Amino acid sequence: MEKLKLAWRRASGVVIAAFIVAHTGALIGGAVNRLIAGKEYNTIDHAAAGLLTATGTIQRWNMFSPNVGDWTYAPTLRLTFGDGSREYIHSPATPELPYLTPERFENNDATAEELAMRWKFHIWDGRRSKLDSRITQPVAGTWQQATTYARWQLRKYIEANPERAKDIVKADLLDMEVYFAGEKPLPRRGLWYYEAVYPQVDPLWPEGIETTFKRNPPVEENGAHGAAVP
Amino acid sequence: MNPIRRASDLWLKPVRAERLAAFRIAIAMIVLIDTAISLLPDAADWFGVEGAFSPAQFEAWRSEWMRWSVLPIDASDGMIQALLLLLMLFAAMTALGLLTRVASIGMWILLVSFHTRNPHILNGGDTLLRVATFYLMLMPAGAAWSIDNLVRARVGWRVDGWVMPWSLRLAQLQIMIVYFATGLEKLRGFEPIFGGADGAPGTRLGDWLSGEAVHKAISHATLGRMGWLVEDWPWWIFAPLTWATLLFEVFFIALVVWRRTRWYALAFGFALHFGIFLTMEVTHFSWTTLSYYLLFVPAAVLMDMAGKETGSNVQRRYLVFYDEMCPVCKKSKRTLERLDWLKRMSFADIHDRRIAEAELPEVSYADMLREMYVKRPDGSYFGGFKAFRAMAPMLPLCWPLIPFLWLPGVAWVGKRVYAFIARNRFKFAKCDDEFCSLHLKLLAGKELDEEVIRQVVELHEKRRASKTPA
Repeated sequence: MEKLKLAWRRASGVVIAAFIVAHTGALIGGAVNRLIAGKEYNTIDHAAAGLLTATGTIQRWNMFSPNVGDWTYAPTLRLTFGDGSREYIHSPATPELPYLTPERFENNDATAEELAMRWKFHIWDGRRSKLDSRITQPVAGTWQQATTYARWQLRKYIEANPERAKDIVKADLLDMEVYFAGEKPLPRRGLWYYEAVYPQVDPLWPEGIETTFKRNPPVEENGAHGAAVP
Repeated sequence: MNPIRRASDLWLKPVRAERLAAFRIAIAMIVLIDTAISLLPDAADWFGVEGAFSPAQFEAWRSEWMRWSVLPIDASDGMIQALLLLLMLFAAMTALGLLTRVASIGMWILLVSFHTRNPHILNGGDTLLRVATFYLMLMPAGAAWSIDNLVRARVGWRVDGWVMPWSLRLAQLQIMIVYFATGLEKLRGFEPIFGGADGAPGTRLGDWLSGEAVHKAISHATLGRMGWLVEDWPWWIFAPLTWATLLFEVFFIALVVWRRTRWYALAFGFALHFGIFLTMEVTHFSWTTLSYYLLFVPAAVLMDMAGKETGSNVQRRYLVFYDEMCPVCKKSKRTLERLDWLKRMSFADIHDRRIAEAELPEVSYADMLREMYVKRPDGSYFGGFKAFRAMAPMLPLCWPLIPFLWLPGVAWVGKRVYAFIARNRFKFAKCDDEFCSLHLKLLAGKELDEEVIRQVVELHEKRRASKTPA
């Protein structure tokens, strides 16, 4: 029995030692490699990342570095209705401000008073801010984020306003960059990241919207695009 | 000592389990609270089929590298909510130390699964939390402050609170890497700028080296809690804090490894992260980072806070020496008694030389007249401001103050404030008998030489005699 216990202790010791060496090697090796190689991925990165991903400990520590940045993201969904009117769906993290429409950004006609307006408080909207930032900086392999975001926002709008659903002709997702630091007066400009979703072409257009519009022939009939999901 | 032996001891020599238990409780509570208030209410939006990260995206994301998740691709909203509730249950069990190993494994599996399901809502704090649950799963974190221990003791198993430290060392190494890697990344601030605010390309010093980073971070339009408040302040006001943060991150390893600077480093880090929590909306990042700090706190301090050592029924008590003839000192004693909710302090009059000399033979009568002394259960003792700082772990109301008492410079100020009050106590005091007045007169502004001490002793004897019934 004693021999068995000793053998067990030795075997578990070897396993633990091997794990410690592999894990710390991946952690330190990966971190050092990234510092040397920068953003370029190489063999060491692959090996380290594979091991760390499997244990859920994949990481890259570069918070607010090398620079904090001078702007933030304000994604806005612009809904266009059959009568030509428009409505803007802002993120709760970047709610409506007078100059925060694509048209005002294009015209660059905001007054000094308007530009001085800010979002006042940010309490418990960190997850939404992070999601908003991912529209222009999606993680690898998820380039569809803008489309998914537009559909998701649209679906929520339709749930809240079912009576307006069938009047929606188009949904544009626009991301506006708002500068909050730099020389005065604060320069602001929109970096347009554009994603349009149409009921006629989007196979995942939210349910509950008829794909036939007063001024648009149904897509299914002319066969130009895929049919919408019923 | 042989370096191989030292390295072996570092990873294998048993240590107290209280640090692991504190880490376990902190991390599990963060998982529990964060899941309850930031994930569960928006479960369908974050993880649902019709949410902000589509099943197709999830499938593509999961298929790369060695990512995994126990969540089905088309999990219904009800199933998502049920699994989040299960995650909360595991977190609660981990915090309580109920089936700790099983619960912490369950917590890790579900947290990794949800993080893989939607990586777009995660920040650095989430990564650190997920990594913490991995280490927690490896740790014997239920060896102290747990229901498991109560059960073990009930069935007669040995409960001594000593554990192998290798998982603790891994977690300590983890937070060191976090700071060091972040610090070095911040030093790489010489990258070309492709179109700054004026659209012109060029190079410039990065925000951290130039000193602008903290100002930009706290005035951030979406991450700053109230960025507009400081947006118009000159950036250079925050420049010292920017550089101090940079130095702290780069030298964190040396600062926490060296015992003499460890408390100061942890205190500075606490102030830094508490400041981040107050000024920036980065979910639980600050609290998760600070949870790792518990892994560096001496077990004796944690045992003092708990009141006893795991596996022992002996209460850890502090012995406080005070001057019974000084009204200010008596008032301080009464205040301490009121703050001592857990009744772990004993008090002794410094004029009772028999006790004083037996308990603290190295401390002279004159020293005790100058300042209050406290003796800890491990035999160490402190005077003046340091005594107050040492007592803080015994006083629950003072626990939030502990990190601030260790901030660089606080001891310097604290000692002087204490010395000023001690020197001038006769001015603040209201005596209700002649002995008190005479006592304070003897102490006021004089060197406490042998003659003064002889007079104090004499006075004390007279006072005692006057109070003894004939």
